[in-house]
Amino acid sequence: MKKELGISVLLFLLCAVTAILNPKFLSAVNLFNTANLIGLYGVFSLGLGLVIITGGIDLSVGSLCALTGVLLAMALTEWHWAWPLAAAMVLGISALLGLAHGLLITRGKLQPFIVTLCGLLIYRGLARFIAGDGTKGFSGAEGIEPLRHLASGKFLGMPMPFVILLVLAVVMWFVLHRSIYGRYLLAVGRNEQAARFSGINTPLVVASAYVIAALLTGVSGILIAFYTNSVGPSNHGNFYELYGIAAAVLGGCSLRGGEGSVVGIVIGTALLLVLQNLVNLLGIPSSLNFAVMGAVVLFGVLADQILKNRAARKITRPS
Amino acid sequence: MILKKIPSLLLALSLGALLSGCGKTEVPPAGAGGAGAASGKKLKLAFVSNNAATFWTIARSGCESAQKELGNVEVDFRIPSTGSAAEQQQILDDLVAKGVDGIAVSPIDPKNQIDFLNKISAQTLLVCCDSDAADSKRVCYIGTDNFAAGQEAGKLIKEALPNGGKIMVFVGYADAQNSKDRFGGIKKELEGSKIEILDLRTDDTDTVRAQKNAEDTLVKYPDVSMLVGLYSYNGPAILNAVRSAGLAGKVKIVCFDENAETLDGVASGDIYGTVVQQPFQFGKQSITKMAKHLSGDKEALAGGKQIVPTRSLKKNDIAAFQTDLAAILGK
Amino acid sequence: MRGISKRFPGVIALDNVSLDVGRGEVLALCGENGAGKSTLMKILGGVYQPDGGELLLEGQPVKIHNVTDAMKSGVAFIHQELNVLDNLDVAANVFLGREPKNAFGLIDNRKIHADTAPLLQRLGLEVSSRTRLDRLSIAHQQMVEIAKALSLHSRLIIMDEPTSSLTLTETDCLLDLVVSLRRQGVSVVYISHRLGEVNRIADRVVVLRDGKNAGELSRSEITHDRIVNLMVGREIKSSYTGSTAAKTPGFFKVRNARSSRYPASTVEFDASRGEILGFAGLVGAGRSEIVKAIVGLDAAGGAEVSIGEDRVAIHSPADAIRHGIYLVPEDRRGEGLVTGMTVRENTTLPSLKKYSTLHLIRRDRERKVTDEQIASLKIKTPGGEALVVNLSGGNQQKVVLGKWLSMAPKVMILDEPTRGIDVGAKAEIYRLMRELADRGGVILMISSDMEEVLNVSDRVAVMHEGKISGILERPDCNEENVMNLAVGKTLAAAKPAVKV
Repeated sequence: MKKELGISVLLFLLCAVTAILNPKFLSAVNLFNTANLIGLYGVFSLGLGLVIITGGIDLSVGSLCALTGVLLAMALTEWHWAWPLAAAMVLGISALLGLAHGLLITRGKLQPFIVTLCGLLIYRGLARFIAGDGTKGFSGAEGIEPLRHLASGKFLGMPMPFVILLVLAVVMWFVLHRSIYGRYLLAVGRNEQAARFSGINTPLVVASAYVIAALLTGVSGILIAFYTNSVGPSNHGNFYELYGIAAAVLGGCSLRGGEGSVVGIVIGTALLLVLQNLVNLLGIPSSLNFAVMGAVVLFGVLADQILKNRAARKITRPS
Repeated sequence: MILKKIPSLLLALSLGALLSGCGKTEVPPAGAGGAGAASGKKLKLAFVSNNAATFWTIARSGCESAQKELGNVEVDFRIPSTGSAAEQQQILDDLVAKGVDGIAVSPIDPKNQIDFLNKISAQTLLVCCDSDAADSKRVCYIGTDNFAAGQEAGKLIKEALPNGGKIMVFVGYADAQNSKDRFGGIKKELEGSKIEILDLRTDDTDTVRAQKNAEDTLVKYPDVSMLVGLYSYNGPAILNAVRSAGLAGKVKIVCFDENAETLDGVASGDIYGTVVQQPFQFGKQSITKMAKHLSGDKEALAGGKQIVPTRSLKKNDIAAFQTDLAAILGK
Repeated sequence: MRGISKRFPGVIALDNVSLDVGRGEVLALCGENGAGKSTLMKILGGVYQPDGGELLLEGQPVKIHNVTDAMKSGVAFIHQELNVLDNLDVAANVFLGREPKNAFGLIDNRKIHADTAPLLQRLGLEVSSRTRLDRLSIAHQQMVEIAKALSLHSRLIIMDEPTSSLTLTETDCLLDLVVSLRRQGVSVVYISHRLGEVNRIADRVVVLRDGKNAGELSRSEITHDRIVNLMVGREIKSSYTGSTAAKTPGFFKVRNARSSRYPASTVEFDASRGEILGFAGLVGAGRSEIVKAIVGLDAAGGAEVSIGEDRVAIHSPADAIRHGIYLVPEDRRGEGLVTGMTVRENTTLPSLKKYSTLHLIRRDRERKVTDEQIASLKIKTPGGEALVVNLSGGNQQKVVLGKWLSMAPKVMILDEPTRGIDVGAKAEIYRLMRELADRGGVILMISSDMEEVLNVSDRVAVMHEGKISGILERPDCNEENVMNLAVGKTLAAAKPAVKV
C-alpha cells in the first residue's frame, strides 16, 4: 500500500495544480471525459501489468487493438453478424493470440519481448490487410445499440468504460492480491525456479497471464473502437503498449517481475491521462505532449526508487 | 598476399555490378515508352501513396478504372505501412529496380525528399500526386491545391459563422506540407473576418487523442463556436466529442475528406460541411496521363501542375455523393 | 587493526576488536555468522569505514577509504561467491580493469598472456592463460582470482569461505596453495566454518563472538573442541547421537534413477522410516542431480519411486509434493525461497489450497500456520510479514524447512542443508531433522561437509560419478571409508546399493 501512496500523492498534486490553474478541470464534463479515457486505457494496462508482474512484456497491445477494432467493425457492418457473436469472436481471437504468445514463451522458450514484438508487426499487418487499408466504422450496422451502450454508454452518470475498468479492477484485485493464482503470479515473477521447486506449474501460470492480457486488450479494443467510431488500421492503437507499460511502471510494477498492484496500475493510468488533459487544458503546445509524459514517468519512477533506497538502507544490517 | 587482395577484389566486383545496374535502369525512360507501346508490351506504372486510408482505396479504384480503359497498362499500387518517408523511399527504389515505366507518388516529406525524388526522376517518369515537391525534377503535379482547399474550407467557416466567433483547429502533424497549406489557406481566407483562431492542436494521427483533444477544447473554451479538422479522421473525432458533450448543432464543425462517419455527420447536419478532394481522379488522371505521356503525347503532363479541384459538401450534397462513392468502391 | 569499532543502526557490529597478522602467517578467523568476521574484513578491504580504531600497516597508520586504497595497500579479497567473468579467458580476468595498452590503444594481449603464465605457474595451476573461465572448474576459477590478487602484488589475501563450493580434492588443492602462499611470504586471513580445514592450515586462530574478540589459539592449541568452545561459548556435543526410532526398511524405494548429467548411470537405494540417510561424495558426483530427478525436476531424467507398497508416478515437483516428497534445495535463495516475499508467503506457497476457500486465500489461516512454524522452529524474524531477504541464512533455511514441515512430509530430501549457516543454527537444523525422523519421516541428506555427514547420518550412501559406490552402515561410518568410496574405491565394509 505504501507503494501506491507515492503515486497517489503525485496524482493528487497534479490534479490540484491543474484545477488551480484551470478550474474547468473539475467541471463535470471534463471529469467525465477523463474518466472515460482512463477506462479505455486502464483495461489493457491491467493486462499488461499482469504480464509485467510475471517478468514478461507484451508489445502487441496496440496492434491487437487495431486488429480487434477492424474485425469488430467489419463483422458488424459488412458481414452483418449479431453483436454478441461479433464481440465473442473478437474476444475469442484475442484469447487465442494470447495463448499463442504464452505457448511460444513457455513451451518454445522464446523471449517475451521477441514474441510480442512479432505480434506487434503481424497483427498490424493483418489488420491492414483485412481492412484493405481502409478506415472501418460502424455506420450502417444494425442492432448494435446494446453493444454500443455497453461500450460507450453511461451507468450511474459514469462513462461505461470507466465502470468496466472499476469492475475489472475489483475482480483483478481479488485475483492478484487474494487468490492462489495471484500469489503464484507474484512468486513466479520474483523467482520462477523457487516457484517451480514449490510445485507450481510455472509455464501454466506464465502462459495464462498472456491470455488474460490479450483478453483484456480485446475488451479494450472493443471499447476504443466504439469511442473513436472509426478504426484506421494503420494508426489505430499505435504506441498503446508503451502507454500501458508506462502506466504499469508508474503504478509500481517492476520490469524485473514479481512486483505490482492493481490499484497502482489504475492510478498510473489515471496519472498519464490527467497529464494529457493538463496539456490541453493549460494550453501547453501539443508538441510537448510526449515530453511532459516522459518527464513525469521518469520523475515518478525516480522518486519511487529514492524512497525504496531509503527504506532499504533502514533495513540493512550487517551480517 | 592472396588473402589481402580479396577485399579489394570484392569491392571491384560490387562496384562493377552497381555500375552495370545503374546503366541498365538508366536506359528505359527515354525510349521505353514508345518502344513498349509499339511492340504492344504492357506499360508498367506504379502509384505510391503516403499511408493507408480509405482515401487511397478510392484513388486505387481510380487507377484500376484507368487500367481497364487503357488496356495496355499494368498498375502496381503501393502503400507504405508505417507512413514514414524512409519506407516510402525504399518502395520507390524497389519499383525502379523492378523497372517500372512511370511512378506517381504522394511524397510524405517533400522538402527533404527532393534529392531522392530527383534521383528517381533520373531513372523513370515521375509524377507527384496529392502532395507536391515543386522544387524537384518531377514532371508534373496532379492533385489538390491544398492552399486552395484551405481557402474553400475558410469559405465554409465564414458561411457557418456569419457573426464571427472562436474556432479551434485540429490536425495530425502540424509540420506536414498538406496541413501547413490547408491551415495557411484557412488563415488567408479568414483574414479580416471576425473569426478568431484559438490554436492548432496536434495528435500524431492517434485517433483517440484526436478525440480527447476535441473534448478538452470543449471544456477549456466553453465559448468556442466551431471545431475544424484538417485530417480525414479529425472529422469523426470532433463529431464524437461534440455529440457526447451534447453540443451537436451548437458547436459547428468543418472538416476535410469523405470518411463515412464524416458524411453521416454532414447528412445529419451536425457537421456544417466538409471539403473533399477527388482521390478517384488523382488515381485515374495520374495513370492515364502518364500512359499518354509515355506513348508520345507530351501535352498530357504539360504545365508542371494540373489541379484537380476540391468540392465542399453540405447537407444537400451528401445523398448524391454517397451514391457515386458506393459505385466507385464497388459496393 | 587496533580497537576497531563499527556501528550500524540498532546494532554494534564490532566493539573494540583488534587483530594482527604477521608476514607469511595464515590466520584463521572463526566465529558464528553475525559474529562480525565479514564486517571486520570489509573494513580491512575498504568496503566499510570504521567508526573507531585504526589500521596499521608495517607499523604505520594507514587510511583505507575504498577498495582501490585497499588494493594499493596490498590487501586482496577472495569472496565466497566468485567474482569472475566466465565469458573471458584467464588472462583477461587477471588483468580486468587495468589492461595494459599497446601502441594502437588496444589491449596488449601479448603482454597480459606473458604476465599471466608465471602467476599460474606459481599457483601450480596447469591451464592455459587463454582458457575461457567457463571451461574451468569452480576451484580453478577461484585460483584465477588468487592469481589476480598476486598480480596486484598483494601481501595480504583475505579468503571468505573459499572452500564452500569446492570438492574434497579441490579443497585439498586450495589448502596446499595457502600453505605455498605462506612460504612465499604472503599473509592469509582464512575465514571458514570448516574447522577441519582451519585445524590443518592455520598458524593461529582468532575467534570473534558478538562483535568482540573472544579469544585466540596458537598453533599448538588448535583443536576442534576449543575453537567451537570459543565460538559459541558453550559446549556443543559434536558426535553422532544415534537414533531410537523404529525403522521400516524398504519404506522408500528408488529404482532406475537417472539424471541427464549421467544418463548412462542409474541409482537405486532404499531408505527406512525414522532414518537419516546421508549422501556423501565429491561435488559433481551427481547427488543433487539424482534427487532432482527423483522429485521430477529433470525432464530428461526420472526415477521409479515407491512409498510403502505404492508405486508413485512423479513427472513434476507438483507430483512429488502431492505424495509428500519434499526437496530442500541446495540453492536456498535461488530455488528454495522467493526471497522478495514474506515469511508467510513463502511458508504457504506450496500448500495454498489448504489455506483458501474457493481459490481465495484466507490470510488468517496463513498467519496461523506461519506463526506456528516460527514458534516451533524458533525462526528469528520480526514476524510473519518480514521479507525473507532480510533474515540470516540459518533463519532462511528454517523458513524452507517450516514450509515443508507444515505439510506432513513423508520423505524429506535436504541438499546441503547447513551450507553457510552458523554453528548454533546448524545444531538446531540437525535437531529438527532428527525429530522428523523420529516421527517416522524418511530423510535424505546430501552434504559435502564430512563432519556433518558423519555426525548426523544413520547410514551413509556415497556417490561417485553418477553411481552409488557403496552404502555404509553406522559402525562403518568413518572419514576414511567415505573418502575411499567417494573417490571410487570399493570397500568390503560397504553394502551394495540395494540389499538383495
